[in-house]
Amino acid sequence: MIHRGVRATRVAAATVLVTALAGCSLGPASAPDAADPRLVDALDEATSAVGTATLAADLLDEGRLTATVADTALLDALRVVGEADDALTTLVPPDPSAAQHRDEALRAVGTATDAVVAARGWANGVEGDHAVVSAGLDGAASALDALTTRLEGSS
Amino acid sequence: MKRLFAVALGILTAIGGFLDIGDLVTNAVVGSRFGLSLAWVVVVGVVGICLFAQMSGRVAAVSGRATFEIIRERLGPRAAGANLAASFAVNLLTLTAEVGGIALALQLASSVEPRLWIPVAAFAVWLVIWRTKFSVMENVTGLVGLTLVVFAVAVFLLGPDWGELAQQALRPAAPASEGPAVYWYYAIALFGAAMTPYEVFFFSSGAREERWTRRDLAQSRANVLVGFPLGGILSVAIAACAAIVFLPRGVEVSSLSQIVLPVALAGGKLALALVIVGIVAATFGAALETALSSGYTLAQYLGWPWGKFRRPARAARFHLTMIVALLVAVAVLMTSVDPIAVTEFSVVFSAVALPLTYLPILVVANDPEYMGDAVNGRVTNALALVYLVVILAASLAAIPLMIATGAGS
Amino acid sequence: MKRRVPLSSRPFPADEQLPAPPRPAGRVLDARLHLLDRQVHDVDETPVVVVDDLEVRGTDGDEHPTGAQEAVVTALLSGPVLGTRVFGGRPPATRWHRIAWSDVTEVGVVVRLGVRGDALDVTWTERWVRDHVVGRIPGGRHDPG
Repeated sequence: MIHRGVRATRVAAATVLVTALAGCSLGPASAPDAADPRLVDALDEATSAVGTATLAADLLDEGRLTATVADTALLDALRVVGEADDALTTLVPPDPSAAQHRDEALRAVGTATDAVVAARGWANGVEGDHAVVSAGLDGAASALDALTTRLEGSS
Repeated sequence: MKRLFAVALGILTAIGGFLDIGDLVTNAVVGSRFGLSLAWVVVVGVVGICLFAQMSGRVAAVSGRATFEIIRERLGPRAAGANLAASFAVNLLTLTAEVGGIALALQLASSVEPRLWIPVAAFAVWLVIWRTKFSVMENVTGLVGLTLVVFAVAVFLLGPDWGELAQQALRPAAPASEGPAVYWYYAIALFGAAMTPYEVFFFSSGAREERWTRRDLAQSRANVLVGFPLGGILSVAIAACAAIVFLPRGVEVSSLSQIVLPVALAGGKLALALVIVGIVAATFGAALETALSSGYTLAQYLGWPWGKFRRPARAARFHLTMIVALLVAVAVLMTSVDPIAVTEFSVVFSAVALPLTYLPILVVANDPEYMGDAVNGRVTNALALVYLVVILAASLAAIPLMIATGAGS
Repeated sequence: MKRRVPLSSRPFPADEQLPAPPRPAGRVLDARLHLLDRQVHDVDETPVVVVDDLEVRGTDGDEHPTGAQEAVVTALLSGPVLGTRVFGGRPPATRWHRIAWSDVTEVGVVVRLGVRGDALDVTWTERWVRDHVVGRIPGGRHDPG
């Protein structure tokens, strides 16, 4: 009886261990010559933030959004683009070409940050108008898109 | 006429009370990343919650006892104690998420930052539990939460490509940009959000609070079988709004302010106001339910007098438990943790805790000593066993997938 | 795996009449089934505790009866004994919170007492929380709604 209990415990522990390790084995594949996925992830985050900011700014301009909600949405977008920036600044590139990609990504994310900050300034009635803000956001979006396409295509 | 009114009230309350912050956030995130390709999970989850909520209501109405009392009698203090520990922990996590959700929604309505709203929200939740009658509390939050139907209206107003939406829904496969591991991780998260564990304890204890008898069973069956699926439709509507507006723009939902943008796009400031009111009501109602569930589970396991029908002085430890739970929730939220992140963890851990919470209900609902002739029929048992397998699979896969996908990033 | 014992070498005849079980007067209770983990209600139908353990004494006054002698249940126990019931061990007898068996009037789906729960030792935490925490919050002593 005691042996059966011990055996059952061992089997259960082994099952749990195998299940947990199986999870680890499903990690992201990293081919040595692909563009660093962390770069692309950060760029995706920044694209998402710029998309949200564009939508919020357009809705505010059309009068479909209250200033409070627009400000909150832009603040949250700023947080996301800040996270993207953090991810890039803490990245250590493995070789010079990766370092160049990282610098280009930092510049693109910096443009995005400026555009979202300007949008929030306009939303709070500080300065600027919708046309300028919209152009800034569109410019940031195209820069991010071009860089992302280039990085994904270079793999 | 009065009967019709009572039936309608019950169903409407069930619809309005179905959604909580977990449903709102998970459905919006899923819609923005996967379109409607995970809509089938909502269907599976809704059928499951209908099955088990109905079972737990029947147990309470027929046996006259609440869930945890029976679980401890039937399964012994150790198994029931493990169940209690898991349920209480997940409940506390969910309560934290809900109070955070109230604060985020109030931030959308005012310009006050969430950290200032958190103590106010928790105090308001406590005050309602302290002084308001159970039925009043349920009906008001349920009916006001009905304004979330504006999500369904928004889907129509946005004029989507119905063919494409249908195609996404009917082809349950990960889209090209996401891998299968993330797809199944979010499937489990969505499942955990739909099959909230606290619902079972709340439903059966609520049945005792409102003194249900067998005659009320038919009413409860209508509430569950009509109300919950309609609530599930609202869940899919939230995902559809995110899919229509955010998926083409490559936007990933990560905040409550993003979730309301499609509604504003569809219906302007009026729709926006309705959806914010609805979110406040839904998260407030869910916070009430989770706080009460924490009190119910502990009091029923340890045999304390419990219930909102008793004055607080006559159920002192029950009320103290809820006060402590709310204080812990406030303490966690005041560390400036992102309530959306707490929500995403709470739904995954809900999925992990599901077997511990649902298996005892199944055992008790089949016990003739408590249920007499109202034990589960064969169809119910067959369906419940299928769901038990699904629940176990989801529970075992949740943590490995969370580690593998980095919590879905 | 036990091998089948052939008919000829079985120690008992196959058609033997088994002795009838003893049927003492009164009601037969199984401690684990009918007493342990049962909700206890007081005379006003208010929940008091859940029975966590039982105090059993030998009829000769022995405090630690083994299974071999006659014993009676002298008290229902609750409180700290829950921990030792789940994990094992035994707290000292002076730390037990007892409900005397003589207070029990009925053993059914719940165990009913003939006394009010307020007077019992086991509910002291309820009284303490009521007097020092909940009772001090405004509205605590009023009915809800």
